[in-house]
Amino acid sequence: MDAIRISNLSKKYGTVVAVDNLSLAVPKGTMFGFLGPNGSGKSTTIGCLTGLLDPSAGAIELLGEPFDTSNTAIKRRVGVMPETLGLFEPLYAHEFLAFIARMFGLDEVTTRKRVGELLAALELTDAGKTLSE
Amino acid sequence: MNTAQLAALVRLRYKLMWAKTRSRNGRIALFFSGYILLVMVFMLSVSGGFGAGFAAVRTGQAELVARIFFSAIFVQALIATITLGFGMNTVFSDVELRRYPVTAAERRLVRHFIGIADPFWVFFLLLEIGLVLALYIVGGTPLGMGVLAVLLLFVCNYLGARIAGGVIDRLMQQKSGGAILMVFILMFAFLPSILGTAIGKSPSMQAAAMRIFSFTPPFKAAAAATHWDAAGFGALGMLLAWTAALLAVLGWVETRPPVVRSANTGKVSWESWYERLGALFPPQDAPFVGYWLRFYMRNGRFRIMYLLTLPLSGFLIYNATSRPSEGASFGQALGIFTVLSFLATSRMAVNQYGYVGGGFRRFFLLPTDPVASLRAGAYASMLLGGAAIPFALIGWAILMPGGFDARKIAMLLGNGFAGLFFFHGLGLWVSMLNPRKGDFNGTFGNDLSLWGNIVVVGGMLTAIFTPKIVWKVAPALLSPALWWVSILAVAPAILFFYGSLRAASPMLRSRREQLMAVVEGRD
Repeated sequence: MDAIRISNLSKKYGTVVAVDNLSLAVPKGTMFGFLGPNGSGKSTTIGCLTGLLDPSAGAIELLGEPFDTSNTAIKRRVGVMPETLGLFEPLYAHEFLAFIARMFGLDEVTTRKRVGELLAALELTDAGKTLSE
Repeated sequence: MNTAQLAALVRLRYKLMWAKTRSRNGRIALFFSGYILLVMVFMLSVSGGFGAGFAAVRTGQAELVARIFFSAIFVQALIATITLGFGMNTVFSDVELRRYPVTAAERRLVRHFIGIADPFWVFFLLLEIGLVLALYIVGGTPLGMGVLAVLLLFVCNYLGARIAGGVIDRLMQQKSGGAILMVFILMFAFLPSILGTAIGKSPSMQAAAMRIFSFTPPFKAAAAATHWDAAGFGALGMLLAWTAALLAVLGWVETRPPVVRSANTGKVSWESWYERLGALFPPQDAPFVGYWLRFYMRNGRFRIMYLLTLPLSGFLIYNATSRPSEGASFGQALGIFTVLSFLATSRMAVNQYGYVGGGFRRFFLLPTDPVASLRAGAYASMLLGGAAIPFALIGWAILMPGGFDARKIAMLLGNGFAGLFFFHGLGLWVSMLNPRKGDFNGTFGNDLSLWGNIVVVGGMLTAIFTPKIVWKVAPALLSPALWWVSILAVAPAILFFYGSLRAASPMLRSRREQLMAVVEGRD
């Protein structure tokens, strides 16, 4: 099964065509590099794949299911590291992680356990008490 | 000094301003602000400045009138600059200018030139020049001295505003800065009326106050503008000394950059009141409500306004009525209660995403309907703002002029909740349709969009002035016998709020690309 399948994806900003009729498939279990020159539409494509942008035309399938921006079940199974840091400013590190965990439906016990593990693994246990500003 | 480069940087500021007007909203804002400014400059500089000058000469008290006029302008410009941010929100910060090959002194010069050349400051300068011109034409006072005095006063005024802004900025970085600032604001709000009454009753205090005031820049400018003798030159010298002193103070303040606060919780807490309050809402909203509550409570500007809500409301109720009476005070209270829950949260409630910065796009990556973030933001704002209503009611019940009346309490409660839902409904629309990128850590200045200002400033003015008008035109409408009208008014306000939330979901999805561009500063 393909993890990602894009068929004839296009994205226009007014008269500017950012992505033009792109089709590709990424098989499950592979690492896939997505390269191109500036302005070739990489970020726009990723934006469409993650629900940030609405495609102007074409179809996207993630994990075998059709994907659009309102498909929260798929979003729950997708991890995204944005181009920009994009932290929620006034949160402590542990609050940030716990917020994301709760939004992804983790129960409270698992949330606390995973937050503790992540802060320890990244040597951020002390930073866990510092505001992300 | 590389003057050509400095001039290029100043020109760049205006090019950027002009570039911003290319969008539809920018053109609308430019049209309104340009039109209003033109009318104001024309009317006020002519009628205000010239009028005051003519009055000064005709009454034979040119210096006295000039003192009052200059002092009023000085204080107004100071307050307006600090509260509304005019002339302070320069395009370039010192950090941004560091990329250009200019020295520290040149960077400072560019920033302050851009600041002082702001149309807002020019407007005040025109007013003052108007008075000097009238004094010269009608009273034959020395024009050159007057213009020089006014220019120095203008610079002193700008420097004073910059110093006050810088001090507030640095104060807010301190742990107890918010509380200290609140004490200052309360003193500034209440002391003049208390001192004014005391001074008015005591001739000796009047003389002492006049002696102190005679050393201030507005009084010295008035002396210099009306005397062509040693007294005038002495006043001009004092103005120069003021300018030099203020420049030195500003230099001292600016060389002490704000310390970025690194807060510590002491220990990781999992059971905070943010979560407990959030848990009162449906599961899809609960984490968001907890997030937004933290967002508000960790914002210095919100905390100050929140602490000020009750004292400010009391001040507006009891001081805004020119002839205090039981009915007039109650009418004023009705108006203030309508905006009470919105006073502290308004800046963020009408621009919910404007202060989120880089975190904004994460709302759309989360496995939930993006409108949950907007909805929860409104809930958090309403929880915090609405909490002021019962406290204000208790305060009113204790201090109520004319004794306790349950019908009046019901009316105030009705207005409070109608305002809570109505203004937060408006806030949803403005947040989606007319957002503006703001600075979460900004402690002063007006960073709202055009419609944000219309809702916030318009709402406040309507709340303050409508009861005055109703009290004069149809006082029967404020009668406690009509208590049920205020209660009934809550229903349409609730309908409006929930109707707005319902409409928000598709609109937020369709507008998210524009919203991201604005919030992330790409618009």
